[in-house]
Amino acid sequence: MKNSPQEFIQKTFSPMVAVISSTAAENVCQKNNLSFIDLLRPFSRLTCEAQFRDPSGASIPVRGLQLCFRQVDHVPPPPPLARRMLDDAVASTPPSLPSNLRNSDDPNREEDVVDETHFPWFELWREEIGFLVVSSVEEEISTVERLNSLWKEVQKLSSKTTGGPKWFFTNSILKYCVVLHDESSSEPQRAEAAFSEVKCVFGVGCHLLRINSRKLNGNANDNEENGVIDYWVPYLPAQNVENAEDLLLFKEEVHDPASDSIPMQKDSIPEIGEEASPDVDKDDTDTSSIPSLSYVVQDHPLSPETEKVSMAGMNEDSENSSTKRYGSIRKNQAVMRGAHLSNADIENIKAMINDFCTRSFIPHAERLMQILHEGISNRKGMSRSLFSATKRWFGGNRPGLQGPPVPSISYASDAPELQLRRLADLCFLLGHYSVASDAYRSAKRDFAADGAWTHFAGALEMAGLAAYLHWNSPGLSQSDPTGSSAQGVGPLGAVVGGGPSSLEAAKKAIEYFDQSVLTYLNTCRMYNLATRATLLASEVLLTPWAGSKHGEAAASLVRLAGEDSDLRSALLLERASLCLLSFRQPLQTSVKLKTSSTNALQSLSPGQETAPVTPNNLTLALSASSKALPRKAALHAVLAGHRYSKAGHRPHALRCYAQAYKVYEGKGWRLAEDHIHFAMGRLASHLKRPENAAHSFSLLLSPSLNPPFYVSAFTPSPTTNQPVSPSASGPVLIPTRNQPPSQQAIFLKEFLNAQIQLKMKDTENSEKKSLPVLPIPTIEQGSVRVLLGSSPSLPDTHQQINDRVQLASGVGFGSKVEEDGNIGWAKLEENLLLAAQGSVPMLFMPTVQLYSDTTDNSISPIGVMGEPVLVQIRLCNPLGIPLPLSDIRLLWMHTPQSDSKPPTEKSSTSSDDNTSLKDEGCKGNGEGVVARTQVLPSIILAPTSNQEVVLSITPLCMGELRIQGIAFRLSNPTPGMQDTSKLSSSDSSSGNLMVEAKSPEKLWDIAMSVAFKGLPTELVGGEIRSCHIELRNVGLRSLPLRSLFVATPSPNTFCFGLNSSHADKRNAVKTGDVTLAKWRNSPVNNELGKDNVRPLPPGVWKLGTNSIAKRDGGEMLDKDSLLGPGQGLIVPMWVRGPEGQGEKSVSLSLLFYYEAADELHVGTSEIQKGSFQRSPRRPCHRLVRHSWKVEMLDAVELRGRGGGSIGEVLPGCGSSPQSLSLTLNLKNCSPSTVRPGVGMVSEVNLLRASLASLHWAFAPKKPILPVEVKLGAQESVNLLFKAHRSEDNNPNEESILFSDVLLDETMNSGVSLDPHTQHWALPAMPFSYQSRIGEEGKTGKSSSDIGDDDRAEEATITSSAESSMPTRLDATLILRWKALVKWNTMSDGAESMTKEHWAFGQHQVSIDALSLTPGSNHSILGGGVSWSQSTLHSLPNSVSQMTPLEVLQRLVTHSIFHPPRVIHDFSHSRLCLVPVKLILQNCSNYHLVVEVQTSSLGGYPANKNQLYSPHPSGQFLWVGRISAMVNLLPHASSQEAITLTAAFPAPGTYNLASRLSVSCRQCIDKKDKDVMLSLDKPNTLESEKATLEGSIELGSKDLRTHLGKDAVTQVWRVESAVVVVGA
Amino acid sequence: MATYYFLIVGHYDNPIFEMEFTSANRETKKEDHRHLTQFIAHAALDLVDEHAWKTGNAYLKTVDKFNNWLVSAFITSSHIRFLLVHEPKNEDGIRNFFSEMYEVYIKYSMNPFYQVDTDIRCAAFERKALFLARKYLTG
Repeated sequence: MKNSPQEFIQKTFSPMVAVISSTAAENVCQKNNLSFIDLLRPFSRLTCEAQFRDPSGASIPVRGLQLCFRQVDHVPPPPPLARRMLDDAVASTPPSLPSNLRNSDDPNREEDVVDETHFPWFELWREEIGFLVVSSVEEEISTVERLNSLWKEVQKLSSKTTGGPKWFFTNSILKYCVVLHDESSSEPQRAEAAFSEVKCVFGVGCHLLRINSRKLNGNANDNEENGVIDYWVPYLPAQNVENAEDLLLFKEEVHDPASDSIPMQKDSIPEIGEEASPDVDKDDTDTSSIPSLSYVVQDHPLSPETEKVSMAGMNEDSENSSTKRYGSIRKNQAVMRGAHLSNADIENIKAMINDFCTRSFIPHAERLMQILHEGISNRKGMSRSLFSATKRWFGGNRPGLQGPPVPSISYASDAPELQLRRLADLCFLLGHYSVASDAYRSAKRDFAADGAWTHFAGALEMAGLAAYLHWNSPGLSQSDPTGSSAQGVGPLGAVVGGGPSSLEAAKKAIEYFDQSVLTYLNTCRMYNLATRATLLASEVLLTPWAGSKHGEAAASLVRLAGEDSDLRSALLLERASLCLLSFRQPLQTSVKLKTSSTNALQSLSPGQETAPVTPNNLTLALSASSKALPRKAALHAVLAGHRYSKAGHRPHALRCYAQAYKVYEGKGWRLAEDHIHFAMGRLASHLKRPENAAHSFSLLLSPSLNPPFYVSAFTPSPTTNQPVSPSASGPVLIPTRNQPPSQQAIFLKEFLNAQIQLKMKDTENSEKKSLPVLPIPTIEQGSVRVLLGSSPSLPDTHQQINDRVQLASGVGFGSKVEEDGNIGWAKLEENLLLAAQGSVPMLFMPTVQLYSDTTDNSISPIGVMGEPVLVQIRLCNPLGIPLPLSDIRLLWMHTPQSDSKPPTEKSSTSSDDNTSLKDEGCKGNGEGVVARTQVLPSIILAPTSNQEVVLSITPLCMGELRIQGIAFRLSNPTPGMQDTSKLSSSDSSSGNLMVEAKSPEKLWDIAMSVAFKGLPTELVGGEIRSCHIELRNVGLRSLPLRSLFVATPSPNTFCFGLNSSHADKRNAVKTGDVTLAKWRNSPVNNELGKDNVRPLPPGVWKLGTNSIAKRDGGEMLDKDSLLGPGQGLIVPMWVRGPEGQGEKSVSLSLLFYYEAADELHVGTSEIQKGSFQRSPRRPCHRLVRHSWKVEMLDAVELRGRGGGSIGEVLPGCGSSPQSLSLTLNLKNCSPSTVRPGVGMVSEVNLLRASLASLHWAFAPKKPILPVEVKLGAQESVNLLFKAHRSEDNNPNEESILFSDVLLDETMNSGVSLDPHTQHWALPAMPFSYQSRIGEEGKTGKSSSDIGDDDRAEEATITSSAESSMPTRLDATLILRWKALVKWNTMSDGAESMTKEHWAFGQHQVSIDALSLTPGSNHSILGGGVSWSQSTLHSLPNSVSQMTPLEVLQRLVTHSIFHPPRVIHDFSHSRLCLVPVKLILQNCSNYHLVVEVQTSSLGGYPANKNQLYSPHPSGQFLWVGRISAMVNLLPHASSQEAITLTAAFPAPGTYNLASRLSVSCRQCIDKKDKDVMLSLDKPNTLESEKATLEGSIELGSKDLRTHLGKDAVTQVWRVESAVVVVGA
Repeated sequence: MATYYFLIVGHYDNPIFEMEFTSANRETKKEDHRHLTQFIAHAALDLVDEHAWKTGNAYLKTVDKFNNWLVSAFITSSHIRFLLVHEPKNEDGIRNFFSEMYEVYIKYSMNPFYQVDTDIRCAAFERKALFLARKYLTG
């Protein structure tokens, strides 16, 4: 079956036999649905051995002679017809385009090439060598007569001037008579009789052919059952095709219009210049005539053999499949060929052919050869005629050069010049190639000498072919195996026997071909012949014998691809492309182009498994020598595609482009790719293949969807075999299309057209409508965010004004995740849960409302029925043209809950076009029933831009909702195109888009709206603003709400309406200028005691229950504190501007919590318990967020410091002598000028000061103040307050003493200063509210940590000693002020508006311990300590029990009594004795033992170097009692004064304290050992010495007391100096 | 038409840099030809690879021809291919252009952040190419 090129050439140049058959004979054949010629066609091969003698007498074997039978009156079709038939032929072999054009192995791809390789075998052997006269036995007249009459017909035909058959050798025409015998219809005897009669008349050249011997059973199936092969399958695929193919053969010869006028024979092969001479009869004494065939019939191009001959890279499978297909086609036609033929008949036919060849044809040829040889030998003596010699001299222009067409000399058909050529032809035909080749060459020389260029070229061509066939004939290879192997190796490996000559011959042959083509082209202008020669030559060039010169073969083919015929050019170009693709495999001896070219194809297709070509040196080296030229091939394929499309053969064009694209694919040749895509798209759309068209156009528009294949080579694979995620390659590698916008607009237009086409097709075909996926606009990965449970009306924060009611901002797309992290919503929620439910679930999952690529998306979010799910998508337009989108909506799919309903999935994806969206969409697709989507009417994406789109969907049913993508319509932006195409796209590429939203349970149908009234947007630090929160139950299912909580990360900023019952107004006493009141620590009427037991985490308030909140109607909340459906609740709220923020905007946040008060709650909690069984988490609470920005201005700074002293008992202050000096420093630190966007405080007025403490109250005396305190910018004021200890020794732990003093004289105390405050203690008190005030024995109880962070921090220190901190003051000084604030609103205009208003605010300083100076930095409240720290401290801590020294320092205060000035006459007495009374005061809560020691040593040595000592002297002695031990009860002073006596030696100023030390310790019997305070060393305040001028502190190290190690030596500053004056 | 189309092709036949140089006096009137030059350049790669093994020179001179378009090539030692599709013959200029461009490319590829075979997107590189083209080709 395998056909090598030589067989192919032999076959195409097989001898032609003309056939004429009688009508009756044809009828016999027609029983088989075959003509006689067709009947013979499969068997037209010599199957037996034959041999002939060449003129030299040598016997030459003839093998496998192939004959071609041809109707004698066959007339080539006229040129236009021929051209059309070529078209048809090409078109009729449609490449079955796979739906996916990228599939390369198109089995039909090669068939065209087959067509092409075969079409121009014309007129070389136009002479019919033999003549079959066929008659039938069934003639009415006798067979002989019939044969004779047929013969006459032939003669008549021959006598015609044009169109008749041309005889090879006019003088002797071989005649062979065949008598057909139809076995089925006549008796064999009659046939025998007729045949013998014929035999008598015609002699040996007769044959009786019996056919139709098979008995027909009437069933065509017998044919196959009996195993009869349908021999005609490969030959006659379809009648029409066959005709076309036949005609195709002539296309080229008639192609050139210039040659139309002359008989085509004239410009063809030289022998046939003239018509056959009419005098056949005379010459032929024998009545047998020898018609010479005039036309070469090729094998049918679709036969598998020829396919093999072609360079096709087809594999066997595809061949088989194609064969099968043709078989099936034929069978489909229901034409059963050969139905009447039995195997014997087939054998008969074969025998007839053999008989014809051996007995008639070969002897005839032998005879002819002899004749010709003799003629040539006779002429040899004459050498060259003078004429030709001169001709050569003058007209010896070399052929092949460009020049005007040289008039060619044509010879008469029997001209002697042609004799040699004819001899060569005969030898060639019979396979005697060496002789033929020689003969051709000598003929060529003759023709060249004569200037008969056409003949010359023909001879050249044939010489080349003959040489090729000679060196590749099977005989040679058998006789000389080394030679054959040498052929296989090619030029490189040509070593042994015959190799060199073979090589030379090959070179020569190639030269011949080249010259021949050039002569045809340039000299003769016979493109058709040139084409033929080229095709043959390329065939030869590809063989290893010629060196596998693929490039040259391709070049020769391309050379022929001229402008004149698109189709021919296309065929040639494609052929050239294939030549370039196939490459030689050096080690193969036989030609296996098939496999090699498949390899080439495989190496081409980058998508295959083969690793990407690594450009190492080895492969490169190979590529240099033997690699195919795929890139060149691709170019030619593109060109071929172009020509095909110009010629109107779109399927082929499409195929070519698709083939070429494989080379370009994914390499980044974008312009080329675009061109190919565009061409493919257009072709596909013309071919009504909208899928392919749409695919191509979408590739055209999209920024390359798949990254170039080499990218994967770069990215280091992450150790495992995980596929490289597409996102890893990233958008960085996506090249932007660099087409100009106009081009992109065209692309878009075509793309839309294709989509419309596709849709039309889809709607015709199936009811299933799937949305096309459009490449543009792209959805930015990771930009998709899903928002659940947003407030019904989208909050727009820009439009809110302070006065207006403002809805809670909730969660919006604007809120950033990082911000959330700062605020810590999750922590807040946890706190809220803790507060509301008492515990946090084991696996606490914070409620997520906004899902983005950074959130944990492993759990599908839970949406609420009736509440919209918002999806934000960023659309990206990579093109340079605007993209108008309209009707943008979400695509979703809904799966109902499995237990409730049968799982019928409803989705919106099928709602494709407009009508179905509107009509069916409502019913069939569940739109409006299952879910409701919001349709965005239209947007226009600007060129190369991003735009964010928010789409919403509202689930209306329970179940699983899957959002699959977005659908939109894309219309053409170009104004010329008005028809907006309705297109949709679903993008499934983004996994993020797959949001599963479970519809909620009933519990979830609760909703609370939170609105704010008068939320401040700009605050001065410390400013207090009052506003209202309105809570409203807006749930659909009318369930009451309960457990309203609110939490904030900044607890010191907010205060919610506390019950006024905290303030006990009745107790308000006014003493002097100070108002005293008691503040209850807990509400009076504690109706919800249980709830109160549960400590609230910091920053969490419970709303509604114990607040002064009111319902709409003014009524209080229910007893169960439920918020009924539709009810509202107004809660007052105070906002205090956080301090220490400087000038910046601060984000304040609130998180509201609520849950449904329903019996369902029980069920929910059960479910929660069962959450270990992995049941779906069902949240039973909901949250509302609010977060807003406040512009801050830090203006007022307050420092405070407290010092204790024992003074006289002030009137009205009870009996305790303890008093407290509070030093305050207030500074207005606002900038002095107004800057844009930043406010300033131009004036701060003090309004009132309050002290909140358990024991301390302001002294009733009014502090000394200027009349009006007005602090301008950067001014400060110092204030001194005096407080005294309340006489109430057993204070009510639940109430706090609250003393208030009016600082502003102009104000009346009765007038409410701040219009927002309802009570004068509100809101000052809550803000300064410290739970630990009076918390002794109450630690860990309610609201232990509400309060300032700083204080909480300090609390950890002080309270750590388990209330053992006796020095603690636990006092908070609150200073309230009003400030004139100027805000410079940032206006757009040049002049900025300055807004002025009075702001009311407060600052507080907590004074904890006496000796502390809390006025340092951390007394500025509301510092930037984040709340998380405060929660840390909320834990009951185990800080070291060791009390810090400085806290202990003020355990004991003293009062020293002595005359300040003593006048003493030292002359009178050398010593001045001064009595000093010391009264000790225990300010702590502990029983202390105090030891007073005086020292005779110590003191400062007098500085001798200085004349004047700035310090008071310590040079004195204590005399008399020098020590004392005193027991001091808590808060008690020593019963009697300790009397000491100091002796002063000289006048001067003495520091009494210099030799006085006091040690104290706790009374051990009262406290446990571990509470014992111990101190290793006394505090020596040496460092302070320099700073404290005028007073001396002495740390007397030597003063060891007998109090023991655990005693504390207390050294304090004594401001008491005695002045001794000499009298 | 003095138009030069310059192209750097990576190891995977991927263009990593492309640029078109036109004489200043001529306006680019042929947007539609741009894909053709890509086709030509791509097809020439076959021949460039072939030529690369026939000569030791980096400059391969004119390796291919398509209609009136010539393709000159230059191959670096790391087998990065420079192509120039042009019409007028300008051997010396092209040689100089290539060798200087080679230098520019070497410098660029030494950038540790540049990965071989990836696109070159660098304004400085483009400027340099433009400058060299003006110097040797169009100017």
